[in-house]
Amino acid sequence: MDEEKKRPDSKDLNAIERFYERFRGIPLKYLDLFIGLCVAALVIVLVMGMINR
Amino acid sequence: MGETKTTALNGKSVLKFISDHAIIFLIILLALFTWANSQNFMSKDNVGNLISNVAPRFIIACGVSGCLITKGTDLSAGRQVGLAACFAAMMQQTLDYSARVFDWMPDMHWVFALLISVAIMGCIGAVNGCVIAFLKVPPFIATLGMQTLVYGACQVITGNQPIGGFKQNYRDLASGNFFGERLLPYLLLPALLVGLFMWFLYNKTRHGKYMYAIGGNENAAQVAGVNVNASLIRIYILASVMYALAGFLIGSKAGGASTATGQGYELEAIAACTIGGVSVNGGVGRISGILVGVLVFEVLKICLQFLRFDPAYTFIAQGLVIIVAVALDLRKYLAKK
Repeated sequence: MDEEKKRPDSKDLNAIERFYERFRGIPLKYLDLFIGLCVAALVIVLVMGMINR
Repeated sequence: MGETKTTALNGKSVLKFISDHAIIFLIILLALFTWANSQNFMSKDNVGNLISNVAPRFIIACGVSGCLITKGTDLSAGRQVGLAACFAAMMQQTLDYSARVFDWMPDMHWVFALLISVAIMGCIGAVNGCVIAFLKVPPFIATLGMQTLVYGACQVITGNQPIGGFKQNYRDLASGNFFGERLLPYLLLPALLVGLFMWFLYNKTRHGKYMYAIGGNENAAQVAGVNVNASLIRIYILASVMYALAGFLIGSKAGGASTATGQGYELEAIAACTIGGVSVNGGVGRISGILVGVLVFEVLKICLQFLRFDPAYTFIAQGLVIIVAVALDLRKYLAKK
């Protein structure tokens, strides 16, 4: 209930913020996990690039 | 007595700092790895080349940053850079060059060519600003339209032909060095001046305060007496002036210009700003962060070239860097509210 009250009015949000609000329900730890996976993917791409050069 | 806010340096805060700057740490590691594997990586030539590549991109990113801080964007940045490069190129062709675009064009000092390019791009920026401020068209749509319009105009003006045959003093602007030192290319000076000017503008002037206020909450800024429309127009004009300067320098550096010049630079600039901490949600961003963001991209590109990567892998790596930057921005947004 309190969380609902804290939410900004959608009229005050721009398109990017409205898009970001869609992720409101996702716990931050999952977002951290996603960022970690992307960084890991970047490392893998760099390693693959080095192997296949 | 004021209470001093202290942050305990513990494992969690260190981990948070590393996760917040994961991309920057990764790029530093990559640079160190490349340096260890390549003798020429830290040579004067290469570092000078890095500075020459970073300088115009930093100027473009500084222009885009104002739009981003006010919750806007500028997708026409790259095409405006291309048009400015073409204008500068047309005005700086040697008189005896056989394929001059305009035969009637008189011999012109590069300062006048720069001023004319700046004036033309400033007008385009004013149109962008007016459409966004008065017609309330979302910046994404307004600047997307301008991007296509500018590209078409550039094709018409140049006849879709590449432009070359520059005067020597124009070419020297980008290829010369201070004191003959390769670490100090001429391009460093405009980037430094723009960086200092933008820092002063963002931190020490009323315009900068208005900009952050609009980005934080446009309605509150309006109620507080900020002339939002005038500020937005000024921001888009300034952005276009930056594109004109960058285009002028890129034309000189490349030794030629065409309709393809500047293609995709807007996305690189937006990504660099995001990596550097400029939130696309507005109200946040520092010039030092923008420089870091631009450096991350350029160092990544140079490292992968030195490591002789297939260009396809370079694009994948750049794409992943952009995804991480957006995810970090999203994380900051969710954590803040």
